[in-house]
Amino acid sequence: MIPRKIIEAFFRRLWLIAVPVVLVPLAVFLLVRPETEYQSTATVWVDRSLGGAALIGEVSQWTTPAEHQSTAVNEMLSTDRFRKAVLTRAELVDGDASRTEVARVWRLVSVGAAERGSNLIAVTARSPDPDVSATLVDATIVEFGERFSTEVTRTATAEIEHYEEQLVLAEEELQEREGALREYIRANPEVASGDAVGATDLNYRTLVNQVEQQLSLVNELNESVQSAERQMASAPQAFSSGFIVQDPPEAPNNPVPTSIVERSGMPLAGLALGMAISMTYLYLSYRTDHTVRSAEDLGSLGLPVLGTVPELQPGRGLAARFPLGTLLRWRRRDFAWSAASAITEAPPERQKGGRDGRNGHG
Amino acid sequence: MDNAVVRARSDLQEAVREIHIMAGLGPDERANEHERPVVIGITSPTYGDGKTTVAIALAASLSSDLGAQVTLVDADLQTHSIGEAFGLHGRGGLTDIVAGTISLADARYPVQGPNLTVIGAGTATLEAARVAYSTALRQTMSTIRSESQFVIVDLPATNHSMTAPILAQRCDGVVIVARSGHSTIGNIERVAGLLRDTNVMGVVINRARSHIPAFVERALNLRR
Ligand SMILES: Nc1ncnc2c1ncn2[C@@H]1O[C@H](COP(=O)(O)OP(=O)(O)O)[C@@H](O)[C@H]1O
Ligand SMILES: [Mg+2]
Repeated sequence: MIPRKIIEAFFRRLWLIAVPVVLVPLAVFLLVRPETEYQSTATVWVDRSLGGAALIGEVSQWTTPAEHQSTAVNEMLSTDRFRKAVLTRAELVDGDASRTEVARVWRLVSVGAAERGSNLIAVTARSPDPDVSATLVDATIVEFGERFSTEVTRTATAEIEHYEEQLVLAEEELQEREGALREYIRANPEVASGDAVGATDLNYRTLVNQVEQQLSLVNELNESVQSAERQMASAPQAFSSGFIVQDPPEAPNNPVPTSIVERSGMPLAGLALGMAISMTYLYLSYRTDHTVRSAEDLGSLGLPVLGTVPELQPGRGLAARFPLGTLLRWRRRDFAWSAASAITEAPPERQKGGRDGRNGHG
Repeated sequence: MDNAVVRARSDLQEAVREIHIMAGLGPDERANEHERPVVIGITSPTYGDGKTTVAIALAASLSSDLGAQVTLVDADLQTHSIGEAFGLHGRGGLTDIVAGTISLADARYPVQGPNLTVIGAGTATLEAARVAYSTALRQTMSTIRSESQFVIVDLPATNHSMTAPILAQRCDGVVIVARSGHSTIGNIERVAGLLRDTNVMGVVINRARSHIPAFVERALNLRR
């Protein structure tokens, strides 16, 4: 059974107990506002042609371009270098910012890409500032394009280098073979003058064939170099034709709506804290109160309780409460005495009726 | 008598009637008249607990409810509060009887016809402990006892004056007043300890206030 004393203490100190229960969650509600975030999104149409770049890896026919590109963007976004490049472009960090500084700023924002269809992806950024969100989306797209160009250029440069090396060797070989042919013609002039002799001389034919073969090889290599050079030169255009921003990012007017659960979380925790404070206070005031308040408290002494005389109040209602009641009680200090001696002054008719216990209601 | 006093008087009267019953003071035919306590001392741990209030109320209600011959004696020689309550300032009382300057009959002050008479603390400046131990006091007390059906003695605060336990030994029974929210269980324990040689009838809780709403009291089946 709950001790009467603790319940009495609860109602006696109700106002004091209510204070933390009301004030703590209120303070938490006013001080710990949930962070408002602004979201900005760009939708981008992407093409498979981009997929060939080493940046993105092998294109499989089972994945859509959107899947591919969003994965590529997210993978780039998970590298510190790319994050720094995006933040630098968005002017959120300096170009010489440390990794920890980049990580600190990155924690305040969130950027990511998601597929919206087979050829459509959404690049989304959230931050506490609407303009920053839009800037971040822009920066991500531009940086991604830049990365793409760099990557294409790097691949193409390697290709060109490789083909040019081959070309030098092939041209040397061609000159050698042309030299051998000239030598042969000089030794046998008849093969070059007439058609019949030239057509039947096996050696001559072999030499001509070798020269022709080498010539086509040289031409092929030349073409490869040119194609790589073309690819390198057209990388920006290739990106802009395979990565088309359909809806550019805009600075949002309204923050991302926070859920009621998120908004009420902290005040609820505050409420729990306030209740814990109140309950601790109640418990302590109960445990430290060794005064006699009711018959229950005297149980341990083994003394019978003969009666309980209530607090006799000179005023009722508001006049019995603090501060008016306190003043009134002080002014009528002898009030209890007056009430006690008034028993002797009971009016005659009441005095007789006193025996039936219905005395004193006049 | 204003309304507030009338209201308070009726509350007080009800409470004191409970004491009559619980202390076995009522006119019970089955009870042996000689076993019933006649001289009842009222004490408490400290000043302001309500000894005087309870003593006056008890004496007044015994005389008015039972129509008994009641004598109210102020034995709290330091405060003289009974005298103050009944306007006996400067009148001879208990100490003067003990000193032998006035007779008991002269010291009696009738409050309510012949039923309730009050004997104040008196004007003689005697050492309280000497009064308590004196044979004159014993004799006075037994005379008062023989002349009344009930004698209510307003004793000093036990934790402040050792004359209280001595005077209490001159009583048939002692009631301890505990002031609600003020007297600690330790206080009451100490008073009961000092009154070991007397017949402690029980405790009266005074100035009790309940802040518990009635519906909560009912719902939790709380004892008063
Ligand atoms: N039940 C009561 N309700 C309100 N006030 C009371 C009550 N009992 C006593 N008092 C007040 O407390 C004060 C002390 O009471 P009193 O009877 O003189 O105590 P004591 O004789 O123990 O010193 C007085 O002012 C009295 O009016
Ligand atoms: Mg007193």
